[in-house]
Amino acid sequence: MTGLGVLIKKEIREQLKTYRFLIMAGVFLFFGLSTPLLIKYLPELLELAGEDIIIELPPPTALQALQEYSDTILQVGILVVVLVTMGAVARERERGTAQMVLSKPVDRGAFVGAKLVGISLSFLVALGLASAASYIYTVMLLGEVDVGAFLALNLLLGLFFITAIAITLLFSSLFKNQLAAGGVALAFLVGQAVLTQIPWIGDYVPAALPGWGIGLLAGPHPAAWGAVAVSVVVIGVSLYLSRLKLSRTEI
Amino acid sequence: MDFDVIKDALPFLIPILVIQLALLVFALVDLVKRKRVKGGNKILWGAIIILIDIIGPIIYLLFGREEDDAGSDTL
Repeated sequence: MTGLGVLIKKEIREQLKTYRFLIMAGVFLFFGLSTPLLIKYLPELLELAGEDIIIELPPPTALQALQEYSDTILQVGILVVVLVTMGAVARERERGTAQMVLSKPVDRGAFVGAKLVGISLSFLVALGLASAASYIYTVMLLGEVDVGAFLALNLLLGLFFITAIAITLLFSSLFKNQLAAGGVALAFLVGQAVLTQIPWIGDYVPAALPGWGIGLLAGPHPAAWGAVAVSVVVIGVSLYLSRLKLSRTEI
Repeated sequence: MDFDVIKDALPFLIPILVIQLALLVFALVDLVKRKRVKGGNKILWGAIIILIDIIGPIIYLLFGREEDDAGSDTL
């Protein structure tokens, strides 16, 4: 794809210049650090708030802290993905910067591909920082957890978020308005999460990946390799459709 | 909650407070330097940044900034 390397470098610079990386790292680190701390001191906080009411809670565990962290990062991560990706193509078309880039000898697939790589890279670095911080806090406050299972969880979360970025990029290419792109992408991502509740189909949707990863923390868990394969296909199809749309549209 | 609990939690709380403060200062400095903001009301954005913990600076950085004439650094 012509110009892919140059465009990826441009996208990475853009991630830093527009503070997208800073926003992701700040938000994820905040939840990564605060979740184990909250789980550890929750009984004391409830005691303080409840006064005479006695609430019996089981002692907090390291497993509970990392499961809670994963749930939080999943919910917050989806919102962050949509917010930082919805304008990636739509807003550039609106502002005219896409016309400037695409008037050069640049493949339209490379234009979208570079955006996927740039946004995914900053997202994965932010996720890695937050997960490392959360793991360190959990070990220090609550004890050991299987590091291999936590790494596997993060890899699955990473693949799920890259799929979510690719889907949002597709809607950003389809719609001229970034809010419309973000709204439809969010509805689509929530919709496929609902599909995980349906037997058989649920094992093959990308939203099954975080569930598999979180399950691994507690011990052996049924694998969802079908969801891994479907996620890779969804990333490829989203990129292809985005390229097709941009090729057929007068930018 | 006795004082010992606060003393135990404090070293773990400091990095979280530093992140919150860094985001707050970063957003406020950007707001002061920026010529134009969405809606045109810098005081309102300042209040959002200061009063809404952690989310306020993020909302401003995502949605509050308007392009400066020299170039763009908005989302």
